[in-house]
Amino acid sequence: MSDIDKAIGMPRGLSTAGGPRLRLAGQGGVLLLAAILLLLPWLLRSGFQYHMAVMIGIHAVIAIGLNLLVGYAGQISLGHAGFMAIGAYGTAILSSRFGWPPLLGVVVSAAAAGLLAFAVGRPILRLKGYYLAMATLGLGMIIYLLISNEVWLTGGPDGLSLPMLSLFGQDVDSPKVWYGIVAVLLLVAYWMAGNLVNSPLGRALRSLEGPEALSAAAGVDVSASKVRIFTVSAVVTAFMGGIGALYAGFISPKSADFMQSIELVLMVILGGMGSIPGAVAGAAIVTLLPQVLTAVEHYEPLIYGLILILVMVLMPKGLVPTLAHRLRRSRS
Amino acid sequence: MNAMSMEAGRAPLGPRGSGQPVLAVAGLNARYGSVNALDGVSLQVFPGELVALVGSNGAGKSTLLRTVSGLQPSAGGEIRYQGRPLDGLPAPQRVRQGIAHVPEGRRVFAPMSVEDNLLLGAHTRSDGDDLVVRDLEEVYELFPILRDKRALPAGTLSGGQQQMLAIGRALMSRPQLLLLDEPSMGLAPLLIAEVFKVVERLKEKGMTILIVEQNATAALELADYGYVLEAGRVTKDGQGHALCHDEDVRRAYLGI
Repeated sequence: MSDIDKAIGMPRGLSTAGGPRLRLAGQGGVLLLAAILLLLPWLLRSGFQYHMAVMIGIHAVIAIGLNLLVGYAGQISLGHAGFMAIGAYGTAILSSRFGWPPLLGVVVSAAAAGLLAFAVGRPILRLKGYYLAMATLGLGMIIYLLISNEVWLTGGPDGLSLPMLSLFGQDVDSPKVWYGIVAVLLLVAYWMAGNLVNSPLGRALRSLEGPEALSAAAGVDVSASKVRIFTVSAVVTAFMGGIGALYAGFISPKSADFMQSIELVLMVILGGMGSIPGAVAGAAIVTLLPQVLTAVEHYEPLIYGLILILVMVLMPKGLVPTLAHRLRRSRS
Repeated sequence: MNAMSMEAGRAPLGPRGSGQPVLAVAGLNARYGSVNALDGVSLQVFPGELVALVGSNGAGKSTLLRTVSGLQPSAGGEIRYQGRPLDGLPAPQRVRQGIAHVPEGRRVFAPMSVEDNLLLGAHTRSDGDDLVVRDLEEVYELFPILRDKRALPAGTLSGGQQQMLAIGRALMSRPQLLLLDEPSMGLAPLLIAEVFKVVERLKEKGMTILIVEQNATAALELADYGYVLEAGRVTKDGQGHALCHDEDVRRAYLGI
């Protein structure tokens, strides 16, 4: 079967001959990820290890969504923890205060985050570079302040508790079931991101790395494309924020603060901008590293920072793209 | 008769085209800050014509193309495309209507694969994937080298290949008017000849083309009609062949 035949067989994504970094994110990547997720439970021994796996999964889905914005479209956001918090607090408020079914709360909160992103996206995304960073930072801070100060609604610094998630009449309280739920979400996100990247919108986004006039000359509506992907990443982030809150059973404003936003961006950059497997790897590293480093106690932040600097100096393109490049080199 | 030329007080050198022009620019102005880049430019491109716009550096040639494709706002005058004014229409909409612009400097989306670059050119189309794939094949037939390199990042291509890719990307939008900005710029002489061969083939296929070139001889020899632009004004126009042998033009632009 020629590439073109395959191309016709594919619904939206025409390209089968994507660049090297895309090949990793294709269908093969989904199968590999599925295999890893299926085999992982044999390695996970304790409840704590399951807990870490679930946290990595939640972060990985968010990183995949954020990577579409930061890695592919080249637009920075330092305010995504704000969207995470909208998902988390929306779910908590709707389910515990208004008695909504938790999953409905997650969906409605994610939609609300999407609406907000759509509304602020057009003015904010006209900004570039540092200015966009400042504007998204401001957006995240406003959300954080609202959550910390509106005690009547959010509980303020005391946080909020969430009811237990129940699926098909069964309470979801085992880490193994949570692992399954998050694994499925991660697979779906991975597969959808791969398709999106090879869709017309995906190509439009990737073109934004270049000068905007060039994209416009190719027929890309630059500002609409940016707003669309900003909205998509906000919805994904808020959705997983809601799922994460249900998993934890409790949320506090800390989950909405600036450091959380930085960590999300860190996952994308560390794993590799514009690489879907990179986003997953980045999420794993940023989630696991502090745990591993507890062994060195109060040197933890120091070593954490050093590792980040070293990775960026030695692998400026991020972990996965650099390793994939080396692998191809050694083969040829 | 060429009404625009009459207005400007110049007699056209001969009858051109038939029916409605694909592109009719009248009294077009464009500014960069307080600098007038275009000062009342009028020109026409008829269906199936290859029209060359020549002139020295900074004469406003690229600005004219950018204004037609919507990358640069106009500061007065009118651009009619297929008889309809293009006022204020954003660039992507103009691509949708059939105006494809190949910007100068053989610009490609370097990290994206060759094929993704071409498919990006089809971004505005909604006539179905099958047709897009068929056009992709056609572009590969026109530029076989692009087929060989389709999986490689566009940034790894040579200068000439990148120019082919930029033209191929424009063709993927199924244009009715192709704007080529300095396609020979910065290329080795052998490649320049190749680029002009491509332009000639597109012309034979019936494509309507407005080409901007510093390489005036080659462009005018190939062109049906030509305009000489000087400091934002059209100073001469006529059939390509005639302009090419015009004494003033030869002295000023052809260095002969």
